Amino acid sequence: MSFSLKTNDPVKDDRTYSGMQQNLENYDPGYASGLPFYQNNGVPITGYPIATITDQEIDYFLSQQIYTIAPTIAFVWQGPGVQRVDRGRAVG
Amino acid sequence: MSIGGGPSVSIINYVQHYDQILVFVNDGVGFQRRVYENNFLGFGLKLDVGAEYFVLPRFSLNAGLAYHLIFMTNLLEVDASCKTTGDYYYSESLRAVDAFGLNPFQLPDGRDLTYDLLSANYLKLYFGATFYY
Repeated sequence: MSFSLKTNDPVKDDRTYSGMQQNLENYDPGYASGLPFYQNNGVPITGYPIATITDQEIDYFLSQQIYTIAPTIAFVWQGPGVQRVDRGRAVG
Repeated sequence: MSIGGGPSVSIINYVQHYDQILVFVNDGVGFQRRVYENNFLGFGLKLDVGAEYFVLPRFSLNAGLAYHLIFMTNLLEVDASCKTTGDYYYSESLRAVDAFGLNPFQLPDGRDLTYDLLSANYLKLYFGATFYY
């Protein structure tokens, strides 16, 4: 996946996202907008470094691990091998 | 030869790996690797067919086939944690603030990361050796 980010005006907050994953397209600007761009007193930070990043590739993969505990009851057939001894004497 | 089965309880651990995700760093922008985890609880059945052959009186080789049928549930509280930052998201409404609102509960294609996202059923072929004393 790829996306582009443009942050060149902290006051207007005109960050643009294009070609980005839907996850990031759905983001709520309220979470991110202004957070690092304003001081605690609400005054915008001036001289904010311009960051323009275009088509940055993000490697993504999803993995799954399963941890299982399963007590099992089983029927066992012991096979003919145990039948070859009859009262301590070899049969046949 | 043996055939058996039983109930099972499982924890399914989804792990999302984002390499080079864009994040705020102080008053700048940088890249970070983010690994988000979600856990779900499942109940199921295990069926097992196995064979054991004694090559020595107290030593046997065995092999078997086990099928795990797992029904996932959403009984666990839906939360997420980030292994790389230590952040914990205890509600589906929470977002990674420093990663432009990245949603740890959603896949990049927009699908929600729910308990039934992936099938958890699996077939297992196993081999082993046993020494009896």
